[in-house]
Amino acid sequence: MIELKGINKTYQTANGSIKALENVSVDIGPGKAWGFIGLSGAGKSTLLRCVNLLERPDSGTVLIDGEDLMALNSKTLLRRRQRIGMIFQHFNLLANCSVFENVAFPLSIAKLSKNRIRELVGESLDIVNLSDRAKDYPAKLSGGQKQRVAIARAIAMEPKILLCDEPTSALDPQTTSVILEYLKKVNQGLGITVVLVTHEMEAARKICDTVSVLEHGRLVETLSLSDPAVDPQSVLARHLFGYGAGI
Amino acid sequence: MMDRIIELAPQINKALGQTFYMMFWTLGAAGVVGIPLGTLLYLIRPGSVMERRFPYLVLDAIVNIVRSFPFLILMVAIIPFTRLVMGSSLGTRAVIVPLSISAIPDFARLVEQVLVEIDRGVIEMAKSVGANTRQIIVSVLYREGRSGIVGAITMITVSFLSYSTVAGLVGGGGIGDFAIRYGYYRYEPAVMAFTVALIIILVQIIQTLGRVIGRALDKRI
Repeated sequence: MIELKGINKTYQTANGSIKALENVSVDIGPGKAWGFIGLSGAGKSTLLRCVNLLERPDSGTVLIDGEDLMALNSKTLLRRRQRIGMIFQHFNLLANCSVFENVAFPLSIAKLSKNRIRELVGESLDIVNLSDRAKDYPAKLSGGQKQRVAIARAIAMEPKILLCDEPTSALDPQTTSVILEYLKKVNQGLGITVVLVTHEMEAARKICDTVSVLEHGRLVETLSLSDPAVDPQSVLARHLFGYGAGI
Repeated sequence: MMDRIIELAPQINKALGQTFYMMFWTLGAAGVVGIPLGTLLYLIRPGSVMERRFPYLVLDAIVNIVRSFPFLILMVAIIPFTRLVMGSSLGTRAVIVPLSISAIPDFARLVEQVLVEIDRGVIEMAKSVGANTRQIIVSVLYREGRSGIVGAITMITVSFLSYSTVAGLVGGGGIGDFAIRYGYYRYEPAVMAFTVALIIILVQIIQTLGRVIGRALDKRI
C-alpha cells in the first residue's frame, strides 16, 4: 500500500547540511497501523511528509498502491493527496471556520457538491461524536475535541491512508487515550491504513501492530508488536520499550 | 463662531466631498492593486508557499523605495507621470495618482505582514488535502487573515486621510486644504479648530467601524 524505497533527504542549514533521512525503505501493507518512533530530530516527521510529498525526497521512490507519486505532475499529485488524510500535533484547524466548515474543507477543495459535503461531514462528525458541535468555532473546543475535529476532517474524503504526525503530543494522558481510541476505530472499524509518528512508545503500543525505530535519519529496526515475545535489539528500541538502563 | 461655520457650510461640504472622492479612489487602488501585490510578496518571500528569491528581492526593494519617499516629495517627483495619466497635474482628480502610488506599496506591505502572521500549520494542512495555490490564497490566507486585513484597511484609511490634506498643495482641495486656507491664511482659528475637530470625528468613525467589523470577522477568541 505504502512503499518507500531508499529515501534520502538532506537539509541545507546555515551550519552546513543535515542528513534528515538516509536510505530509508519500508513497505506498509493495507489496513496496517504502523508506527514510527524515535527521539526528536530522528527524521520521523520528515519521513511521514514524504508519503504525501509535502516533503520531496532528494532520491528514492514513494509508491502508493504501486503508483510512483514522484513521477506525477503537480495537478495529479494534488488529486492523490485528497485521498491521503493527515492529522497534526497542533490540530491545524482553521480558526475562522466552524467545526462543520473545517471538516468540509477538504471536500470543498475537492469541489464536491453541497449535498455530498453535508452528508460526508455528518458521517465524519458522527464517527468522532461531535455532531452537536458542528456550529461551534475551534476556540470553543478543548484540545482533545480539536483533534477529533481534525480526525473527522482527515477521514471525510474517505481516504485509504491516514497520516498522523505526533497527534497526541500536545494532549494530556487521558485525552491521549481518547484520541488513540478514535484512531484505532479509524484503523480497525473503517479499515484505513494508519501511519503514526510519535515519540511516545505508549501511544504506538496502544494502536500499532508494527513499529519502526528511527535514529539519526536511519531505520534501526522494525518490530511486530503483535508478537508477544517482541525482543528489540537496538539500544534505542530497548530504551523506548522500557527495557534496560536507557541511553 | 457658529455663524461663521454656517456661513462656510457650502465650502466645508465641498471640501468634505473632495476628501471622500480622493479617499475612495486611493483606497480603491490600494485594494485592487495592493492586496494582490501583498499576497504575491507573501507567496514568494523566502520560505513561503512558492519562494522566488530574486523576484522577491526586486519587488521588496521597489516597495521599500516608494514607501521611503516623503509624500510631498513623491507628489512633486511624479508630476510628469501624473500629467501623462490625468492630463493635468493639478486638481482633486490628478492628486489621486500620487496618493494611489503611495498607498499601494504601503497597503501591500500591511497585507504581507497580516499573511505572515497566519499559522504555517494550516497552510501545511491545506497542502495536505491537495489545495492548489489559488485555493490556499482564497480559502486559507484571506479567510484566516480577514480581520487583520480589515485592520490594515483601517490603518491605511486613517493615514491617507492625513496625506490627502497635503494634497491641497497642488490644488487637490479637500478638508485639509480648507483648514489651511481659512484657518491659517485667513487667520480664523475658530474655523481651523472646527475643521480639526471634524477630522478627529472622521478618524474616530473610521477606527470604530474598523474595530467593529474586524471583531465580527474574528473567531479566534
